[in-house]
Amino acid sequence: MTGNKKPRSAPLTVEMFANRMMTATFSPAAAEDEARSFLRRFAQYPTIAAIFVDQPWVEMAQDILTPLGISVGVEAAYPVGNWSTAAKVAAIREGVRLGAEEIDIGGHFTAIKSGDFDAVYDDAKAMIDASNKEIRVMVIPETAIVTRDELARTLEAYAKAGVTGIKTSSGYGWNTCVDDVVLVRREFGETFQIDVSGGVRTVERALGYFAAGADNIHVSPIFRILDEAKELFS
Amino acid sequence: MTSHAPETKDRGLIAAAIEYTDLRKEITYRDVETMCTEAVLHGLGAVVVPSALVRPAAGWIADGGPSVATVISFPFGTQSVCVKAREAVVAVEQGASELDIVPHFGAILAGRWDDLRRELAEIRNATGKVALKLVLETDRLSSEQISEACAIALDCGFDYVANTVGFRLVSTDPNAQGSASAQVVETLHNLSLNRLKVKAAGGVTTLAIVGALIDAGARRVAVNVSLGGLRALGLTPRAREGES
Repeated sequence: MTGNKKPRSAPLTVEMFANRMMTATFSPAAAEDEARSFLRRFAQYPTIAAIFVDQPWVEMAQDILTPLGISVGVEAAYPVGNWSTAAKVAAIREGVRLGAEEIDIGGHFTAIKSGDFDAVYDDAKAMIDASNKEIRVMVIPETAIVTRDELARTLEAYAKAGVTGIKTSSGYGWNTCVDDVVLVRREFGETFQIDVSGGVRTVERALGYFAAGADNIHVSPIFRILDEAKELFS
Repeated sequence: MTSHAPETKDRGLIAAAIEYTDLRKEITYRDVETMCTEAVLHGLGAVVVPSALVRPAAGWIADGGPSVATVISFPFGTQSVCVKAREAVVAVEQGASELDIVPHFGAILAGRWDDLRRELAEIRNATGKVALKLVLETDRLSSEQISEACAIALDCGFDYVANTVGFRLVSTDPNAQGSASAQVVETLHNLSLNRLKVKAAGGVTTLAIVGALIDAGARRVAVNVSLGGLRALGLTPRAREGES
């Protein structure tokens, strides 16, 4: 697996910028041939960090992306969450079996919103144990629906469970704000790698998140943002 | 109306068709308790909760009450078969008696029918006799794709077909999600050759809509907490009927 540890200083070139960007293509929004065409377009762009796909598409994605140096990721309990812990564990083990390099996975939002942080811990601990450090696990606390206090208590439980990476939000209208990243960095230092998702639609905004302490950023309009980055850094 | 239309003037019949659904990410344990209590009071057909909440839901509903249902691989259906089967088996162990299965739409759209058959057969084999519902996204699929998927579901011992996952699968636009209509219900009946029961989901906000969907042949209708739930429908708790 990759630890995906990269310098967090401001990117100075389009290559450095792209290397910290991620995107996704899932069915049924994309059919398989559409997903394949989407993935092939990345041969014309600077290398991005990772692309997330359906589990049954991992092999197809690896065939296209591995030669380009782009990691393949999968998701689970996403974007709505609240899957049973057993299902998340199964998804993580399947991600490992498929050779995916990362899995982004929703936390136990019900437990968070109900104040049951023992359950938040148990769920996270099971996920981390299942990963066996063979896949990068990014747990989603969903900053868009939690209070500052709920976020802090959730991250305390995650840290105790051995979580080393969080993805702020799942997107799909649940957006992150820069303050979320600033808060996590201030309160938890380097405990977590922080990947941002939700509402990042411009290069300027992405750079703002990097300045706040984000490691990677997920975006939907990836080609437009990479084109903008080419112009900005040229 | 079709020949399979029931008498929708009977409120008990309407209630028994309702699947009271809360798949919001912010659903709390208290919400589960409330919806289960309401479902029992109203004599509803089922409550539908995320798989993490099957056990608490089952704890609030006694035997003979509404069924506890969950949705497997909600909402995208993008997991491998083994992951779906595991989620399904554990849900049954924890008290679910009905499972809505989101298939791999990528396989359906690509015409990989053997993959769909393997997926549905494995889930059926893993889960015993629970009621299984194949959840389609009819706005995204052709009639031929729906027809073939229904035929495979029948072969694999599925009981129902549903028209939508009820989440914005093809767009991040909150309005871009499937909705129920009498036409969709009749289409699913026709494309499944009337051999699968039909569950109608999406945008159900009034009792009149529920009745119309049942008249069109729906055996189950999803009423979503996020759209106002039972209060929007104006249902009176069964326990209080006749008190006034």
